[in-house]
Amino acid sequence: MSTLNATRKAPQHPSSKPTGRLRRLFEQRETSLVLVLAGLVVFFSLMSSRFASVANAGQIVTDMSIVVIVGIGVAMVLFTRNIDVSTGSMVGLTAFFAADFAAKNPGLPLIFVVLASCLLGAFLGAINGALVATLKVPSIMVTLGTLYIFRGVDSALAGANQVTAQNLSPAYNQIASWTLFGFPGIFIYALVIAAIAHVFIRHTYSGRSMLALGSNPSAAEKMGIASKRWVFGAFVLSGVLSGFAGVLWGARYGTVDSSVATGFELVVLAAVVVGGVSVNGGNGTILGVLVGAAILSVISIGLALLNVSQFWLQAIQGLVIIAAIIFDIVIRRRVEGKGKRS
Amino acid sequence: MTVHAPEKSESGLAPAANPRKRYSFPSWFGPWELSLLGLVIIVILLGSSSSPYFATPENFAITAAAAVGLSLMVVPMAWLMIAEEIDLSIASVFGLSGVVFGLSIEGGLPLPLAILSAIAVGAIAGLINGFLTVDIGLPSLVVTVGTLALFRGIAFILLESRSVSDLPLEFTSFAQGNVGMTLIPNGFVLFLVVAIVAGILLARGSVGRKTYAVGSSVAASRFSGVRVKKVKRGLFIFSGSIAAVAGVMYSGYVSSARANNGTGLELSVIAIVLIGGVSMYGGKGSFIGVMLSLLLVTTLTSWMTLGYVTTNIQYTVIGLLMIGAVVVPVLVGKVRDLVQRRRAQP
Repeated sequence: MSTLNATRKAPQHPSSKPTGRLRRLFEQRETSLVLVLAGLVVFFSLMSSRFASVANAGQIVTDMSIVVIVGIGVAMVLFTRNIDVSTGSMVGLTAFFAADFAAKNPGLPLIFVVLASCLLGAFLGAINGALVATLKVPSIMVTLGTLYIFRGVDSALAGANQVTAQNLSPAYNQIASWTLFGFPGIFIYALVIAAIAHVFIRHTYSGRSMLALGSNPSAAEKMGIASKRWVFGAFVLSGVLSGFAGVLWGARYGTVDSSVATGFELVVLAAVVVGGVSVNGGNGTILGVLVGAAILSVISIGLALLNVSQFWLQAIQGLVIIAAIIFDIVIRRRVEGKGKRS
Repeated sequence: MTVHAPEKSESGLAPAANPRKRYSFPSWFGPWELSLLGLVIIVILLGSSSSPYFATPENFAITAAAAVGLSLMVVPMAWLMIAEEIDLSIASVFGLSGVVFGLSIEGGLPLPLAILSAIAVGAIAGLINGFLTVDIGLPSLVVTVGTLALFRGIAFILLESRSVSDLPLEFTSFAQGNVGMTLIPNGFVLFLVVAIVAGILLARGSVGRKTYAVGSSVAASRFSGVRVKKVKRGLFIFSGSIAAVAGVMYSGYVSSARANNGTGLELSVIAIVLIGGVSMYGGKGSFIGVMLSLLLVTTLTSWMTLGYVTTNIQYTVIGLLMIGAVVVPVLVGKVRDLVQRRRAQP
C-alpha cells in the first residue's frame, strides 16, 4: 500500500523516526550532486579567471539545455524500468525534418514547424512504446534497433543534402537564440520543461504511477496501475522531447545534415545516470537530470578554458560517469544499511 | 543439471508427453537457428542472382577479411550476454588496444611484445569492467557506458589525432594476407579457431554450463556451488582480451592504428548477438545461432554493398532484423496461445 509514497527512494528508511531536516537533506542524492557541481565550479573559477563570468555561465547553460530536454524524456523512460537509446537518431531525424520543412515553407509560422517536429517525435516514440508496452519486448533491443532505423530514415530523407542557415529564415535561428534579461532562451525552455516534468512526477497520480511501475512492476499492476499505458506514455514523451530538441538543434547550430546528433544518445544517458536516475527503475528526480547535465557541461567547458587538450575530454567524462555511479551505490548502501539497523 | 537448462529438460520430456510430436530439435539447433539458416540461404540466393560478383571466392575473401574485427568481438559478447551481462565498451577497447599496439611498435618494441602489451591492455580493461560490475555490484550496462567513454578517451589521449601507419611489414602482410595460395584470409582462420574453441566450450565445457547457469539464475547457481563472481569476472577479461586481439588485427588490416578505429562497432556486435537468439535476460541462446546471425549480417551487408546501398541504410536493415528478432518470437507465442485456446474449447 505504500508503493506510491515510497517509490522515490527504493531503499526506504522508516519515516516515523524523527530525523533532522538537515540530515535528511544530506541523505538525498541531489544534495551530494549539487555539492559536486559547486566544487567543480569553485575549482574551475580558481583555475581560470575566465570561468566565473556571465558570458561563460550563459555558455554553460546553453550547452546543457538540449541534453536536459532530451534527458528528461529518457529519465521518464528509465523511471518505468525501461531504457531509450534511440534518442540520438530521433533528434537527428526530427532536426533534419524540421529544418527542411521550415526551409521549404518559408511562409509557415514557425510554431507549426515546432508542432510538426514534436508530432514526428511523438510518432517515433510511439513506435518504441508500442513495441515495448504491448509486446513486452526488452526496451534496449527495441530502441537499439530503432536507433539504426530512424537514422536510416534520416539519411534516406536527407541523402547528401544539408540545410544551412542560409536556407532558413533568421526567425528559425531565433527559436534558440533569444534571451530574456540576458538569460538564454534555450535554457528557459529546458527549465520550463523541467519544472513541468518535476510537478508531473512528484505531484500527480500519473507521475507517481510511472515511478511505482518502475519500482515494483508486479505490485504496481496489482494496485491497478495500467502499466502498458504509462510505459507507452513515457516513450512517447521521450519522442516528443527529442522532436522539440531536434528543432532547437537546427536553430542553434544552423547546419543540419543526416549525421546530426550521432552518438548523442550516450551523452544524454551519461547525464541522466550521473544525475542519479537509476537504470533499475523507480528512482531518480528531474532535478538530478538538471544537475547531471550541468556537471558534464561544466567539466567540458571548464577543461576547454584550462586549455586542456580536447583529447582528454572524453576520458574525463568517462571517469565522471563511473565516479557518479560508484558514488550512487555507496550512498544507497549506506541508506539501506541504516534502514536495516533500525 | 536442472539449473542450467530448464528448457532442455522440457524438450527432452516433450516427445513422451505428446505422442503426436515425432521430432524435437536438438538444443543447439532449434527453430530459431533453422530460420536464421533459411534467411542466410535466401540472402545468398538473392545475392548471387542479382550480382555476378556476389558468389565469388574473391567477394568471400574481401567480406570475411573486412569482418574479422567484428566477428571476433561477437564471440565474447555472446558469452557475456548469455551470462546476463553486457560490454558496451568493447569497441573502445578495440580502438585502445590498436593504439597501444601502434605506440609499442613506434617505441621500438619487438612485434610479439607489442601484440602482447596490446592484449594485456585489453585484459586490464576487461578486468576494470569486471571489477566495477562484479565486485562493486554496478549494472554492466551503465558501467560499460562509462568505460566506453573512458577507454576511447585514453586512446585519444595517447595518440590524439595521429595515426601509426609504420607497422611491421610481416604483421600487415599477415593481417591482410591469405592462407598459402588460397583465398582464405588469415584473420578469418584466426576467427574460426577462436569461435570453434569458444563454441565447443560453451556447449560442452563446464565453463559454458556455468555461464548458462549464471545467466539463468544467479541465486540458484550460487547455491549449486558455481562461483558466480569468478565466472563473470573471467568473462569480462575474456571480452577485453578478444577485443584487443580484434583491434590489433584490424590495425594490421588497415595498416593504421588510430584512436577512432571501430567507433560505434559495439552496437553491431550486440545486434548480431541478439539476432542470434541470445536473450537480454541471460541464460538463453546458442552459439550456433549467433554464428548464423553473424553470417546473415555479413552476407547481407556484402550484398547491399555490392548494390551500392549506403551504410546508413545497411544499418537500418540490421535494425529491422533486430526488431524482427524480438518481435517475431513474441508474435509466434501469441498465435500459438490462441491456437491452443481454440483447441481446448471446441
